[in-house]
Amino acid sequence: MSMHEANGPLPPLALSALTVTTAAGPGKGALLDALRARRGALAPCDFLDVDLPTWIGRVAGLESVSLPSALADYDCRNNRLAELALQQDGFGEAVAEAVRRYGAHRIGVVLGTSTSGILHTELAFHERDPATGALPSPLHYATTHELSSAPRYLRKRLGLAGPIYAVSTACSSSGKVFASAQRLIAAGVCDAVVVGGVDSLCLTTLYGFASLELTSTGPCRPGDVERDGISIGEAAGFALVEPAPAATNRGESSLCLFGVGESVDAHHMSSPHPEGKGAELAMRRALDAAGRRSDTVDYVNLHGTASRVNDAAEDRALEAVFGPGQACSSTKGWTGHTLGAAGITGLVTGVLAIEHGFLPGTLNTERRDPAFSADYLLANRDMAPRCVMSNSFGFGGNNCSLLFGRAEEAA
Amino acid sequence: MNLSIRGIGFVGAALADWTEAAAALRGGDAPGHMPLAELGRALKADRLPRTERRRAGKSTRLAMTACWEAVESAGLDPATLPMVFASSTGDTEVLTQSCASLAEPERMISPIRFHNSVHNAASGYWSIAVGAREPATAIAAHHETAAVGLLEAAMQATLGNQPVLLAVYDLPFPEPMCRAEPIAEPMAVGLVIAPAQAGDVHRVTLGMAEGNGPVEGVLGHPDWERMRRGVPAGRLLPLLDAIARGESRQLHLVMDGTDGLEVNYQVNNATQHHDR
Repeated sequence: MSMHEANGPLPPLALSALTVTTAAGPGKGALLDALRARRGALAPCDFLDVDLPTWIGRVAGLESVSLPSALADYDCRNNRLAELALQQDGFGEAVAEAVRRYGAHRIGVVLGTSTSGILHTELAFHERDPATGALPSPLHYATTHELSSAPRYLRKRLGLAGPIYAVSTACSSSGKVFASAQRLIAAGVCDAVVVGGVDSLCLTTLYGFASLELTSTGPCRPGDVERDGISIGEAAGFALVEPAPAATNRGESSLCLFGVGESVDAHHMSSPHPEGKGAELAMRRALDAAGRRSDTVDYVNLHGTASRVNDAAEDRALEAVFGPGQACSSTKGWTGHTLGAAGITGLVTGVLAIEHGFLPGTLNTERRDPAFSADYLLANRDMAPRCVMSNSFGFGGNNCSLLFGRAEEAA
Repeated sequence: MNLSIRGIGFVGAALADWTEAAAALRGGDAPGHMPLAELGRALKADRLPRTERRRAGKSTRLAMTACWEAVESAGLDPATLPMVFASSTGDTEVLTQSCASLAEPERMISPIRFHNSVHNAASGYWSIAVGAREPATAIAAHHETAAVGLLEAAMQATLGNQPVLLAVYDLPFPEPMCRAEPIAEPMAVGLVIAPAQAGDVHRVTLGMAEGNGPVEGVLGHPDWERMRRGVPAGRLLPLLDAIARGESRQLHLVMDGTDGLEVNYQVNNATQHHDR
């Protein structure tokens, strides 16, 4: 077990394979097309019999996705979404290559989620025995609802034998998995890690965010002066990460995770610090971890949920770190807020911006909040960013910022 | 990874704290049973701001009680410690109530219950209580939660070269979920884990096992062994037993699909009288 020297910043990671499946469709290409055409994927809520006046970002066709029969106990909406995502962008093949290189026991899986397969349990409560109150049996709790069900599913599905776990820090979950992967590799526990996040529509989040009066009645409008809340979406996304030199030596992977910044607000369970102090700290820590100055960041993919207080706090934090006028946007208007999959969705969006040379302008937003100081993009801009930051913040005041870009940019 | 355990906190088995738990493990006394309804009285939430104290769920107070004992015995300011919170299922009571409410025609879920349902509720309340802005993670891996909690905390302590607070805690599900996912007892362990240095009393070397490692550690006392098997956090009991008895021991924690985690505990008796 070789160990990275303690106390220094962790070495950058190569993003050797990437995929994301959102309401825009399966795979990166569907998201890219939607971003380019400025075609949002939100629609009025038609999920089950949910009676809320809100819009959602629903992935089509999950009802007909089937899992391999040997893994039938894992069947639930969340793992179907994981399975659909796994089939895109040659991700499974890239992992198989990594298994040949490193061995199955040297590859771990760390995935973020907020609610995992809770929908499975929610629906089971609709089928309780009226006399005894008992749930249908067997419930298959461990393979559906339990938080590490998706990483366990992926390990079996991909034939891996390294450590697996779930990170569940609400909406920052699938940002923070990159920090765990950096540690697993730096500590010599793994040679490569499959990271990402899976979060699917369920009653808990739809009715829960509605109870907090945080859901918009239309498609969300991040940064708009009249923004009125979030649109909930679902997504699954994965990245295969390994030490940057390993990929470079093979002449592969031009993309690199430079650094991760993590913090908590220590302020409130469901509202951010009004000045964005925790968010500011996460962004500064990501820059420090990467050994980069703030003026090298060409674009920030905001957490930008379109909640009134979140967007305002994030703008305060951006001004503190970058000064006024930092180019940024929120892409929640395309996919909705994908909660525990928001971190990986933001990272893949940033990578598409780098690879295809454009900054996506915020969708649905008509008049940006005049109180904001950032350069909050409302239209797509032709520009190839070299270094991108992506933010994800969650309940419990939990914050994570990812800094990434072309490998040759690594400090 | 070479580490030391600087502070320990314990809630469970109807024992008051780690001092009582250590005495029971050492003396071979059977663990007690703590009914969920009586758990509230055993928990210390008094250091939360008043609003948060009223709102915090049972799993949060369970984890925080163990954390307070651990940081106090380590003599460290909790605001300076990164936080690793590991629980197999988080707030089982809130999750069960939410799922039950969502099956009613009104589908009411209260805002507080909703934010208490997130897996990082305990670390969120804890960070508010102690004013910590250090990174806080909340992880889960079903029956391997204690093992990955140790692993994540060990990596953070080693790579960050600083002490880390680890909380491993489980709250049993109420009816009817307890039949689908039985958790035998409420239990929480708080550990302050730091990079090893000269003079450590409780030294731990930790890493992934390779090949056919030793078999999983079991406890001699049948009731403690039942708790080890019946509560995911109970997988830490062999380590706590070794610490309580002051016996160096090689332990093995199962991680499904892997060769498991090897935890080599060594006690430095020469310095033990300086401890605590």
